[in-house]
Amino acid sequence: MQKRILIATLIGVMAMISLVFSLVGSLVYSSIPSILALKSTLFLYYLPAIYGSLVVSIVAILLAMPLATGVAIFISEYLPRKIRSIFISINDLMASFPTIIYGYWGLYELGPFLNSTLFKALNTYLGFIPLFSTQPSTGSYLLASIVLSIMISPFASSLIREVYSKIPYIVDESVYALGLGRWEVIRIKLLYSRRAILGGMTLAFGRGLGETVAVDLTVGGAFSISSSLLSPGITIPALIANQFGSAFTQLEISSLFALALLLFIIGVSFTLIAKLLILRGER
Amino acid sequence: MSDSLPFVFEIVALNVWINNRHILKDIRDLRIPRNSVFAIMGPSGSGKSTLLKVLNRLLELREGVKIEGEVKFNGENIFNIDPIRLRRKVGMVFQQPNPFYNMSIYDNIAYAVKANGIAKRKEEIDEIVKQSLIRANLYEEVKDNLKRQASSLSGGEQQRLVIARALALKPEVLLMDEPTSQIDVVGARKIEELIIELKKEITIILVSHNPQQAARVSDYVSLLYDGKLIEWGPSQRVFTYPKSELTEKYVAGSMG
Amino acid sequence: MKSKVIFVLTLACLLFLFFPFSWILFDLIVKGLPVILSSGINFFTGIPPIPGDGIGGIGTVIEGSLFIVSIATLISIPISLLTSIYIVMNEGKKLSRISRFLVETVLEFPTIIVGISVFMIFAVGLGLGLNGLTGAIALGIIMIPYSTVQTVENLRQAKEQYLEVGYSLGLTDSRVVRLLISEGREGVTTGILIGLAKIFGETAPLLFTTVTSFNIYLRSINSPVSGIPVLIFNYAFSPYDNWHDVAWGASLVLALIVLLLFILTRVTTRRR
Repeated sequence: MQKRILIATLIGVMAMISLVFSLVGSLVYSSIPSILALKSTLFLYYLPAIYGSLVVSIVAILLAMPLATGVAIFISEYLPRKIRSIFISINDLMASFPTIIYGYWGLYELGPFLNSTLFKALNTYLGFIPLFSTQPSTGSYLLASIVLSIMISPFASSLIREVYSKIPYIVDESVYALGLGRWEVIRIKLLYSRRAILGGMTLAFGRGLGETVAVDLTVGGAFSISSSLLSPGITIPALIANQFGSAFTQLEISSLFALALLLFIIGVSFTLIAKLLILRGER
Repeated sequence: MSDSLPFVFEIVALNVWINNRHILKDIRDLRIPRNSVFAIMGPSGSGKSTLLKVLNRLLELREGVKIEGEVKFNGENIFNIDPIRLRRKVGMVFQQPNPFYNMSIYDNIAYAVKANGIAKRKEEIDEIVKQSLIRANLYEEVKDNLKRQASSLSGGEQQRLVIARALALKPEVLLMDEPTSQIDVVGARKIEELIIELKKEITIILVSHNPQQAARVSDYVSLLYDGKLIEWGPSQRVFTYPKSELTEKYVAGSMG
Repeated sequence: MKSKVIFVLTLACLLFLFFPFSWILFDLIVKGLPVILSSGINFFTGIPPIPGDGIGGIGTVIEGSLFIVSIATLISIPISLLTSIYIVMNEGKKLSRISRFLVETVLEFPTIIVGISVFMIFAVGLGLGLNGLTGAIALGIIMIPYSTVQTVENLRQAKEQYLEVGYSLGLTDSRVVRLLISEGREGVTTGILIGLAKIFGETAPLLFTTVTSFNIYLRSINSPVSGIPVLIFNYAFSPYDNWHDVAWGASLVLALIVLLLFILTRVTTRRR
């Protein structure tokens, strides 16, 4: 490339790289004081947040995966071409919709509704199972999981659909030619999309871990651990969001950074794993 | 269905339109004799694959397809038969070898068998897999490890696996759409030998991309040109004394 | 028959997914529109009410959001564009691949982490303080990967079509790049719009880079202004009913802005 334009673009690249590294760098740098001072007790102290993050994200993924896969299949298999793009647009709109609105609606609309119907029923009839052993409250792990799954499903669905819909028609034909029906065609195509589904799940899980406001509004903000999905709890991003503003001592601030560092490491790991999965699935 | 009739398929009259383009134009009186190899040849775009896909009613699954006419399978109008039952009796092999790549050799065949409800017990399925691979002349080459992934086979072997998979359903007819055009010469030869062997038990309708192959392998041959049936008959007769000038030209190689 | 079952199941999934969203849209209109209407034009120009009484307006945060997003765009467009051009024009080279990889990874950073890191570096470290500018920096950083990924895709397509043509006409490197950008114009615009739609709705990065008081209008580049999502977030946690109403109104405004950006994105992509 010609010199002048090369230099210009390199400046842009360098700017981007230095931004990334200074972000990560400041994260690490700010965490160090508390990690050195408290070591493992730091993460024991924050266990409720770590526990909450895992619970909410895992339940959200369990709900989102079948949902996202089903939607991807339906859009690819049963919708005529013209209507397909409308639904894909709605799907993408949902994926880029402000998360704060999901959270606000979740807290003041979905929450009360579920509390008086589904959650109440779960507690009343299945309350002997530890998962549903507490009374419904304003915010809970389950409510946050449901809202989170609504938020990440459109994204996961697009990823799956991208791969699923590109499977050549000859695969459909060869299954039909064996005297089989649509059910088997879908089964085979799902098999071919295995990697994309797994990759999409991992990527969506990583996103779910990092989601802040929607979860903060719906998880209940209780710094505790509970085996019941209906109790309030806290997640890592929600905790940081709640406490960072009032953290004053260097130790307090540094501890929150350490927690953020943990979140960062987990999140990036999942992203990398997902990329490896999807990349190697390109047959 | 009566399978003692001399003709397994009879196209009484057939017209096909795809997206309003007239693809097959008034195909009449085409009869496929049982236990023979019947070749359909013609330049590309003449509608050979389309004709083949009418026979197992695969064509109508696509959008924009209009089919008019009467086609008989063992004396019955195919459009009155349940398409799924039809496809179990009339199998298909495609141009591009397409086994289920992520599955093992064994599972490729077993899947079709299980999904069709032909057999459930493992011993039964094992036997069917073995017999199908033998019939497809593939058993010797893969018998040491049936759990290998289908993607590890060569093109010719993959195509024979596809044939084995189709044979597992014990069809009466096997439709083959240019089965050797994407395969190397050695593999292609093996498949041609297989076709000649198989005709003892089933009827094979073969779309061929070159007249030499049709001449080598078929008992009967037909020429399709621009969607029209030009002529058909015993291969020996058609190749030595063609009734139509078009046939002469095509066989001599001066057409696409 | 099994095929009917799968049809019903997947249809159910579709309904299950789209139903909550329709519910949200319904609520936004039913709960947000009356609020806006009761305040009239003042909702877009006035300042937020005191707790417990009245509706007032969200003019301060609308202006704040527009300001913050504009600055963020100014920051991110040059970096995003230059990086995209480098990545596409140097496709085999190591730096290109590393950049691509970094960009795609940064895409997935939890946004709250970007927020607190920008707080550390810029608000504290560089002494910029908590205001619209710092918030814009945070949002700008988040916007860069979104725009870059989209622009790279589009430039790549333009490159396939026009690169050889350009060089064979004897054009210099910079002319070829200009050709690609002008032919891939819609793609670059789409990239910016996608980034915009993303950051307009972002809350977490603003929480610790801007302020949580919403009474100030913009006076200078480092005025302590805030954004619409931050207002919604704060009012949501408050116990005051009137603030909840304002939050619904603000949510409707935010949703409409994002919807508008989204439609623009679709429109510019279609004009090929």
